[in-house]
Amino acid sequence: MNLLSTYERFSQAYPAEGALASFRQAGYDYALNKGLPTRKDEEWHYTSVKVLSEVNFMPSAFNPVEPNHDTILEIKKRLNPAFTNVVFFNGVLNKTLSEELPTGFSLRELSEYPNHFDDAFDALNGAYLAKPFALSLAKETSVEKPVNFIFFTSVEGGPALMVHPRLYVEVGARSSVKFMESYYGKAGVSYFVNSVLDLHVGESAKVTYVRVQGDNESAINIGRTRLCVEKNANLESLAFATGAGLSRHTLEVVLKGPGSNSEILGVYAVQGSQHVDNTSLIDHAVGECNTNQLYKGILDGESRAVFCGKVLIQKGAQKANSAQLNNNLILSSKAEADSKPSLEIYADDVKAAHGSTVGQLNREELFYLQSRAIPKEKAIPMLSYGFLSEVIYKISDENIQKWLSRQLDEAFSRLSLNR
Amino acid sequence: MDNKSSNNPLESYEYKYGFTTDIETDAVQLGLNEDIIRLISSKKNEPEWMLEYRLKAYRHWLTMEEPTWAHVSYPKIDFQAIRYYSAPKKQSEADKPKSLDDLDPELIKTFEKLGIPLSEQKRISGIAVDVVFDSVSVGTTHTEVLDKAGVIFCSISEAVQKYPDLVKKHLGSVVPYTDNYYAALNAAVFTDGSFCYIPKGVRCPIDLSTYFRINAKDTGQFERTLLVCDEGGYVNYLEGCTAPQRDENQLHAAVVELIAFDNAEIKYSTVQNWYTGDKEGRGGIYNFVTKRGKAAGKNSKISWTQVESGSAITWKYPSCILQGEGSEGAFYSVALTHDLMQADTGTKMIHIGKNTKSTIISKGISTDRSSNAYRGQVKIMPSAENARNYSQCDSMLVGDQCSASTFPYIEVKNKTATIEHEATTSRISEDQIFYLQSRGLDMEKTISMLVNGFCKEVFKELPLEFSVEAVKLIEMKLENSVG
Repeated sequence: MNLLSTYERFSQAYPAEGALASFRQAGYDYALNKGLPTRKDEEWHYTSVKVLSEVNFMPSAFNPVEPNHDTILEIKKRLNPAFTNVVFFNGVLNKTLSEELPTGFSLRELSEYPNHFDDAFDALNGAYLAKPFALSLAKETSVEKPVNFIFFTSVEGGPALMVHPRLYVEVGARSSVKFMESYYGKAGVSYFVNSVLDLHVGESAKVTYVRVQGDNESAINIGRTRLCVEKNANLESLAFATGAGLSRHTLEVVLKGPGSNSEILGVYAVQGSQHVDNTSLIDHAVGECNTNQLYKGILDGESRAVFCGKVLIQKGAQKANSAQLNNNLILSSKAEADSKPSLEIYADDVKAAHGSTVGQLNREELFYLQSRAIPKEKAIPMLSYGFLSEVIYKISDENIQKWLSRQLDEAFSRLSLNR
Repeated sequence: MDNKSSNNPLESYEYKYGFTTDIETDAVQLGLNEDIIRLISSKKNEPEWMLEYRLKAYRHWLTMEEPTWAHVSYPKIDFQAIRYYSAPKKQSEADKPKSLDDLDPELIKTFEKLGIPLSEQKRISGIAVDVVFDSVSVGTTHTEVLDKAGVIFCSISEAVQKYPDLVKKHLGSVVPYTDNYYAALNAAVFTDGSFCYIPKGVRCPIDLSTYFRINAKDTGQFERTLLVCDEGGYVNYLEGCTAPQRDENQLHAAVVELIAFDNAEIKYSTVQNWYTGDKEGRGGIYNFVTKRGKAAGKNSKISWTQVESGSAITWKYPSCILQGEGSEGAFYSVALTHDLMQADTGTKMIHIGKNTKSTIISKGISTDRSSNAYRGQVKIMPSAENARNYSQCDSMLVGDQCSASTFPYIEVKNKTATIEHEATTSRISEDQIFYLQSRGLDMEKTISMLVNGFCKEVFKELPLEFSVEAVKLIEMKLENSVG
């Protein structure tokens, strides 16, 4: 695998010992052995990552640079005063641009590593792990201001970069926090982001998790999020994707304790030749949990959107209640939507439903607006925007709602709707 | 539930078609190679092109791998331990039975036991039946009525001899031998099956039916059905199947091809009741079937209705290729699994033509330790303007050891398409049970009534005779499962 060709140099430049060294090596071995997924893998049936084997990427850690003035201005546009912003430039924490974490948080170096990888990308991320961080929030702590981890990638000349952020976040019991990770890059620069995030939602904790993927269209963004939800916890999760030429987000939600409620949301708006893939697994490992999944997307140009959502209700997970819905709105005759919602159920006293639709705007709604003297040219964007923003407004935090609708406006300005 | 562990599981299980018939058979040796294929071909006195077709398919099959993507698990099949041809011993060509009365009485008795009106005096039942016993067709009824209407309905081996042009033109045109592993295997070794041709503008006067029976040990059944409905034609086709109880698994890999031309309509119904294996999962039929219809003409219609209540493993996806403008496809299915049965069944709707429509209604019921999966694909090609699909897949779970899965694949390449898919999984509502019980119904009746209600949308699509049979069948199966 050409993505591993720089591994040797990397491990010399960033020597590691003990657990980290063996973790990296395990990642290298796994990725080498397994190779990149192909469309023959059921999980990757609709998304080809062949392009990754055609371009050479350099680990960002090789050439740590400070952002130049223009880049800083661009990064600053991505900072929201209503959030606590923590900035990573080319995968490295940038102290000047970052703010202090609120009290209750502690950032430490990771000491324990997982003993398996979910796929080649997970392993690849492990192989190129420079400095593993673990962020934890003490129990019974409530943090009002959302914390936003911003990953910005840019390079002036030279080979394309690859960034492998890996983060462990632990939220203590009965705590409450809003955690965001956001991905952006300088316009026109191509790079490859391969992120892994593990978020542990403690007992009775209340967590909002948002992943914003606003990369530029020459970027490739592959991300994996594993959410582990304990007893009586409340989770809101949103995968927001409007950027990148090729993106794939794999979300894994494991319900570990009874009585939890999870709202699992997704929004995507793509155009041009963008390809966006949302794959998710909701694992009801124990019973008495509610999950409600809603993913909505708009497709324009020659774009393609993939939704593969699996809901698994394991043996003995009685009284599980799960709903899953994927709606696609196709605006262009060349766009393609692939939807594969699936249910796997091994318990009998459960409620599980899923649905999927692909179509155009509702004619009656359009007619209604027109009958109220709103011209078609205005009514179409209005309805399309309403179609998507509904999902954003399911997130309880108002500042996040506002911030995301601004980003959605940006994405909408690129669609053919306004032209 | 506790009387499940009987000393002899084969006896306790009430599969009433589990008997075998002692009949002299003419069989080839076990195993598969080019010689066997040549032997089958020569036994059937086939023309050269047919043999060529089989050999091509066989050579292609050798290059293929057994598919593993289905949600089922079973030990690897030894394709060399199967007998690919077994037929009730026939007299020489000269004294071949001229009418069904000349058939081996044992054979007629078998079918009487099964409730199949094979003898002509039972014409009253009004269905023309082609009966396939192990590898060969043993008789077709009601030939006169059909002849009058110009409908060709005979076994496929007869069709190869009598109507080679029709067979040559259409065989493999919907399911080519390159399609999948079992379709290739079938193309190489298929021994018999039914052939039906409905000429232009003819509404087939009576319903047609094929009855399949596996009898001999170690045999696999590989039948092939080809049904061509020419412009403006209409046919209602029924298919039923049973097999004796045996401890080892038997393979059934059939191919069914339907072709509908302009304004033609084909209704194809199946009640599949192969032997399911015993309570411990020993024996039973592996039912790996490829069924596909091509709605080739304008406004043509193809509908598949199936009641899947048998087989140890079912792997079956009756599909529609909606090529003609305004063509319609439908799939109605009830799949009931019990004990250790595994079913992975569903459909494919490929929309190619403009204004094409498809409907999918699938009801899965899993009980005991069985697993029941719906797998369906809806594909809208760029050329399919204004395509419309509605899918509904409901699963019902009875007992906490079973599983139900739904795997829909929706691929849309045209913006004018409207696709809706919904699925639900739940168990029988306690309120409903309470209501019926408070009205004096016992548990068994209650469940059977609720399950029948759950499947009603599909049962009403079945022809009357089948509908009655299906309801009884489901009731009988549930008796064993719901305690």
